Amino acid sequence: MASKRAVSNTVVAILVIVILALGAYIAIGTPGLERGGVTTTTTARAAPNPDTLIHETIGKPDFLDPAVDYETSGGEIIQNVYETLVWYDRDKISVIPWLAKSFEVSSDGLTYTFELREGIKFHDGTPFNATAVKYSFDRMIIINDPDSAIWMYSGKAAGNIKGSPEYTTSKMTNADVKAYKDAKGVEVLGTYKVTIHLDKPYAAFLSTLAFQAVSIVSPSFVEAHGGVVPGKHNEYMDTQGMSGTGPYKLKSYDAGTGTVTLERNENYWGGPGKTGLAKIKNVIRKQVSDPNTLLLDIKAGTTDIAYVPATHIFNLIDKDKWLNDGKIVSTAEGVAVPGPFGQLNTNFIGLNLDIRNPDKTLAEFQPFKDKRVRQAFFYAFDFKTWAKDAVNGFSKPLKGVIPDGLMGYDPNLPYPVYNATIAKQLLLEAVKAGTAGFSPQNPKTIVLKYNSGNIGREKAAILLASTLNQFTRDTGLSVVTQPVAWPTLLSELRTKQLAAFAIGWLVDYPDPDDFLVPFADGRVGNYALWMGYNNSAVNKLIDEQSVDLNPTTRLQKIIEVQKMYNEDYVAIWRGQATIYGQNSEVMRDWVKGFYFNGAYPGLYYYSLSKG
Amino acid sequence: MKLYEYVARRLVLMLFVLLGVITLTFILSRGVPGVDPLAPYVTERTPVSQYEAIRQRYHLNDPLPLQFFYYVGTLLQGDLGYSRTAKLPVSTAIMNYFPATLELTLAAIIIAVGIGIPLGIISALNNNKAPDHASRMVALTGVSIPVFWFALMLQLVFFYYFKTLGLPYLPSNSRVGDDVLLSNPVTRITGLYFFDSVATGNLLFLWSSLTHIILPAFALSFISMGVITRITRSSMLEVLRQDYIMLARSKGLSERVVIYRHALKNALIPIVTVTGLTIGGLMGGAVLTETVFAWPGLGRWSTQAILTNDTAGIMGFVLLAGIITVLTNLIVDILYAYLDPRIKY
Repeated sequence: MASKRAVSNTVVAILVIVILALGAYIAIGTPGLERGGVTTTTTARAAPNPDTLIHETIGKPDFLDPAVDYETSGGEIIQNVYETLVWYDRDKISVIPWLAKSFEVSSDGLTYTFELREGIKFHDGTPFNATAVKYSFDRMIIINDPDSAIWMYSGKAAGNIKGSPEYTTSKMTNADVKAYKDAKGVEVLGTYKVTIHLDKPYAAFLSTLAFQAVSIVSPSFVEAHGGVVPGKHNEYMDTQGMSGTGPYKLKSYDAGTGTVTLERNENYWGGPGKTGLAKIKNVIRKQVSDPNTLLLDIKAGTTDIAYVPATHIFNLIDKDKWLNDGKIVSTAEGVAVPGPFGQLNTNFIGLNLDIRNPDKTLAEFQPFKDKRVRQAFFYAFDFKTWAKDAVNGFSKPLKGVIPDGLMGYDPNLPYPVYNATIAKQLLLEAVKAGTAGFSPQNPKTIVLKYNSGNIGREKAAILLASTLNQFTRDTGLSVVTQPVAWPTLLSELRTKQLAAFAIGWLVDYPDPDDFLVPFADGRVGNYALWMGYNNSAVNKLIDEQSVDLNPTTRLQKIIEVQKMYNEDYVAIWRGQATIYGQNSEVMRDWVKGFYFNGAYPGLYYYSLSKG
Repeated sequence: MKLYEYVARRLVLMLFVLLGVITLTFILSRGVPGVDPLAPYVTERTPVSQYEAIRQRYHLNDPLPLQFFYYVGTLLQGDLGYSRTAKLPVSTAIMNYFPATLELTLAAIIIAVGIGIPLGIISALNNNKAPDHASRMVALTGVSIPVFWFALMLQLVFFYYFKTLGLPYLPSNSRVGDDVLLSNPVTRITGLYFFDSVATGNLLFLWSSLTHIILPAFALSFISMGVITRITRSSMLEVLRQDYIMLARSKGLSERVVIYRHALKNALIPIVTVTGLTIGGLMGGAVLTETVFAWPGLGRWSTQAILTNDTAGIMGFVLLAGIITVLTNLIVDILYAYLDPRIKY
């Protein structure tokens, strides 16, 4: 029929064009992309693009300005572009002089004096010196972003740089700036000599000086791009420009795609070990959110490094060898999975001793006032099952707030082992005493919340609830779990509406104080406040250890704090994350030089090479 | 009413629509009990003692009408606020994400229309015969398959398997190749990679961006293709039954002229309607496709904004979606008048 022929001709024409185009594509190939190939020998393939390292991961930087950024993606870039007075010695978390060549601490712990290295230049060619150090510290204090890490240097919870205002100030007024400068908290004593004065001694202060927030920036660069305005971000420094002394320079940052491109600093001083320039010329850090895409890319070799969550890791490693022997053995050709390593973090389920209503009044039902109820929850959590099933074995048991790798970690602290029978017994005792707030005649429900999307926390909550709900008929207590969006969880945490919650804490700086205060200091610690926990004896001991400059006596106090905290039964330890890579990265086997440091926010590209 | 009067009237009405949308979204983002306006601005690390400072900084202690007043005031100055999800001012975030979404949407629509309409015509002309059944299967598959699964399968086959088998392969993610971005970056004019690379004569960048858009555009087009095929089929069937088609044939006109000049043109009204709605929907962002292919578009950003209660981001996106919807409908309405002279304004 004529009508069909007209359409058929059109369709045929389209098909012919498509086939010709496909043929052209196959014939010409794809410029700039490598053709695939099956490796039939056991020798490793040569690294493609040896001058460029591609790193695909899920996050993108908040900011590139060390004075305000306070998260790991930005921290990863910052630690490759900027440097600090002291830093970590490769895979150790103890600090060594870095941009400083030596330092002295006064006997009262109030004055830190640094002799600086000479001959180092910023990426813009200007010299690194004491003036630059003072400028960098000052600008962080003057910008005074309450969302930043400024609390480490300017607040009650940590060491105060002399003259720095309380960070509760919403704006840094000119009077605040003048008062800070007049106090001379950071003082230039010579071209290459600088001193920092504290208001009170702080044993962890040196550790805080290795944190990204006090990276040394080029004053000339900042002044040429907006300068320092009290209480305000420098928008250029936030997303467009960086000028440090580090092994890499910022080439570009596309905030829309989250792609950061770094290029080698050809004038890098080489670090304390004088190890020369970075081996890889260019680094491209890309944001790819989908774990399946990341998996395909790393297996296909189109990326050198990829973030792979623990939920997908058995696509790349032998499951039995990991679960039974604790060994990571790669099963994917050409893919290396470095590890396992203990991340410096603490995961827990918190119990609230001071539950509030949305209108901030005290809630009538306070199940955790009775210590036996809290103890019951501890005995009801089956860590082993959770670690195996929820996080595929990527969690190490903890018995205290300090994770393995930090001073104060103690695997022998007294801590209850999972025992459902004891849990039931404790609940019944509390019910019988009439202090539980629930009973079979007066049944009550506790809601255990966690942030939606976090599989580990979800399964921990479900596991705990399922154990306790076995006894509901006898105790009158039922536990339900509820996922909530992260902002909602935080909001309810802050207003103490949550009876119980699952959450975690990752290290800022590798000192026990970074864990003790948030969890156990009932005056200023976030989690302590949110759980209504305030033990004056514990607070006193936290204060004492924070100013104790003797490591031996300090350690004893830290252990004692943990014991006392455990005895109060407020935080059920869900363990310390075990990871591969720096933050769950896997690599192609042509990437060499990786080492793990628990204090790094991300990968240190300087140590890596390809080939 | 002349066309330009009609367009002007519709644009004025658009402003009222947008004001209503903004007001509603603002109330839902800030004024509903249980929603904590402080939530987007703090993390679990923010010390409790800093909360008041943050509240002051963002006017969160002010009464809701005053907060809205501040917001509208800044809006009139072109300041849409700061998106904590994008880590950018909202206007900058939109300028970054919108071209990527526009490009992907246009590519998807070209594929959907380019395949859907011919398939629909074939289906109508072979009603209840094999080609019709085959076409309907394709259409049904298009509307049935979850787009994220389809996207992953495309990635698996055309990227991973093709690569491991030594065949030329299509890229798995991003808008352009990493090596091309490093060695041959394009000068940004509009943010539309196709347009910018043609305008600057950067053929390498053009080729790379074209190869990168194929898989996500095809994944995104598949649902729309199914819908357009079905609409085209039913619309054509209805038109082909009309007397004037019989008259056209009896006058001796070629079948090609009968189909394309007389039948298709009259069948286009519902097709244009559906296509317009589809464009509007796709422009709102295809979050699943964008996530799988790491395509930096509006979909991903808006979803993250909602999940993190990024008020400024949410309202900026809603404002943009409102503008797109109204403009798309306006264009569709204007096309009606062109397609059907009986329609007057």
